[in-house]
Amino acid sequence: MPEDPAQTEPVTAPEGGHKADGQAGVPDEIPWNTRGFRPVAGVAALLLPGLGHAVLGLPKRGRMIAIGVFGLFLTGLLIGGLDAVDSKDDRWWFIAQALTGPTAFGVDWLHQWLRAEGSVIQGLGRMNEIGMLSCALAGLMNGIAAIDACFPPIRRRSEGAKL
Amino acid sequence: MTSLLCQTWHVFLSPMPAHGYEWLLLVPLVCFTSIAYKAVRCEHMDRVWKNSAQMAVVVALGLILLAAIGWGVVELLAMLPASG
Repeated sequence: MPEDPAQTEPVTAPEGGHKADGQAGVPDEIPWNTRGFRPVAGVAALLLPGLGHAVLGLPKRGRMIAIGVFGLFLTGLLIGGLDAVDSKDDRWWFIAQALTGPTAFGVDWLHQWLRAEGSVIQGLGRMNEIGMLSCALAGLMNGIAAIDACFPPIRRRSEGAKL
Repeated sequence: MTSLLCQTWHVFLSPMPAHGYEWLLLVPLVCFTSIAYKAVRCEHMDRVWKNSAQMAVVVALGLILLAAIGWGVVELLAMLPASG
């Protein structure tokens, strides 16, 4: 069954992407699967979800990443409360959550401070687990985004890359 | 109902009182995960919402299928005679 040309051979180049071969940008001799190395973008992605792609010149992609990652993180906090992010009692979960960046560390600091004052109710059972899972998923998804920002594809499918 | 919810749920300070309805929380988790993944992986950003929706539906259906298979296995095991 032939594939839809519109799905496999887009006419226009992606946002922020290079122009097609033979026009400008990437020389023809670069293999289709070559990836660049942009450590600044990788660090920026870890500092703030979506910032890495914004640094790469892909602001719309960065905004969508921020919506996804912060949406997951906020959902986790709504479901499990601040207790969903706990570096003391749930250390292994926090390692995954920490990939969200300073946001996770800030929430954890707030949680520990409010817990010392007795303002936070200890979460137990499924709601706590689902909250922790959601925040951990946010961190893991931001980890994927940071890797993609650190090693961005030099060429995309519209430029001849067969992904 | 609303006042009772406000009394029992302090947003961000206590867990959401959704006991018995945990399965509904699958929806935002799947949706936001799909958006974050497709934002990285999607070739063209003008298709990202459509592709995210497709991925969310597929993942939700896959989880429902896994749950059904798990339920079936448990029911089958329950029919086996007890050993000893």
